[in-house]
Amino acid sequence: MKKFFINIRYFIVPVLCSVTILGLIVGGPFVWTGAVLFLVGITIDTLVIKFHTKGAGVDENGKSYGIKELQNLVMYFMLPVFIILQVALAWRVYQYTNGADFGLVTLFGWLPVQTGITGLELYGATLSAGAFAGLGIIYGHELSHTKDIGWPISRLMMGLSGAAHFCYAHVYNHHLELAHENDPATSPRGRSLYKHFWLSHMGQSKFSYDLEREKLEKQGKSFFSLDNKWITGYIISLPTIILFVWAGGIVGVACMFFLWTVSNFELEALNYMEHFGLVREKDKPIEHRHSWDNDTAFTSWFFIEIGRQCDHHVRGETHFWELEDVGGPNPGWGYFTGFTLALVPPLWHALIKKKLDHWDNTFANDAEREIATKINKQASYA
Amino acid sequence: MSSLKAFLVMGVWTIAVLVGLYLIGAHLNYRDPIWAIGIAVALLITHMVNMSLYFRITGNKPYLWFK
Repeated sequence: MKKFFINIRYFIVPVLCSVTILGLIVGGPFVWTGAVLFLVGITIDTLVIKFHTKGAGVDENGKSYGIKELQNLVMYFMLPVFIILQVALAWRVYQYTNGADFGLVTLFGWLPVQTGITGLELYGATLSAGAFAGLGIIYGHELSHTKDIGWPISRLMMGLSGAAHFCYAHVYNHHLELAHENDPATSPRGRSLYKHFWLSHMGQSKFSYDLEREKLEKQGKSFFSLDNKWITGYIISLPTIILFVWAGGIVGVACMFFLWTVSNFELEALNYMEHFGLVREKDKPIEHRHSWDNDTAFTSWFFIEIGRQCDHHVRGETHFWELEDVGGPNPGWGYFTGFTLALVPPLWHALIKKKLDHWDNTFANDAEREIATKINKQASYA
Repeated sequence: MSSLKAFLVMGVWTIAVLVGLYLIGAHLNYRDPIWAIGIAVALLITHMVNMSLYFRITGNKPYLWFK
């Protein structure tokens, strides 16, 4: 029974994402469901800030409580769930642009569905879908570390948000270069979340672009080739664009743009919180101290232990349910709380500065402390 | 400065494509599946060209930690 409960606690996002889809289908004020659930997430995560976890744990034989087949199946299952999420939003866009009459119909004989949608409700629907499309990234991330069927599923998941380049950039750039300026996903001290959103997204895409250009040059092939994974990554996003263009023309494209912006903002917010301000010497090994752990109970369960970054970056191919507490740097808050703080840059910098002071004095080696001092001066952290 | 230049070029390119789509009547025909596919391909190419423009104009400068 203990094993059962440990495994199902990682199903918060699949359940809430399904509820969000239901909200989009039911319509009316329920289109705001996803956005409201996100706010509830912020509240719960902040309320349980003192409750930290140690991961899924192991049984008396030292075997992880995580059930590999079940967790993998749920992650694969999230791909169609995220597709349905987009289709449900596109259906609402279609209704809006068609000026569908307002009324109530019953679906499957039991589900009341409001037809028609106002402009404000369409905004709520897009925000809700964006919030949960962004949370889908936790599965795209986890599966990007696999070599089997999980890898193409990860690319497809990220492609739904126009970010298929993430899979290559994450594994071959971020995991090799983190806490250094060669990794665009690591934010230096002093940078705001908003600036990081742009630079991290563009930097990761640039990595994939440069990687493919150099690879194809070596192979004597044209850049404009289906062997170019930067290009194929964007082609993966084409069905989503076709869907929204067809559903609503300019309005559809605007909704899709907003959806992609929200989901990618969430992705880059995670990158921002995972390594903010940490430094490492070029070509030196990646250690636990080069990541922030975020292990409040709600963050650990909601984000399927993605917050256990210190262990994840040293054992990149370890499944999330096998990650452990390694005593690395920890700001003490969860991702929802950290995200809210990061939305207000002066507040974020004021708080994280103290955490970084502690990191400089406790975790950093002499060379890293020297780099940190230089950046602190530039970022006015000193 | 290079980022500003990139944004300007990207803006001009995007507006040119959007005006082009408008002039050929994309906003009137998007429900035709063939038109929808064509418009989507045009938008995707616009996005990819924008990314390439940004990469080429700004180089590695935006990502450097020490200015």
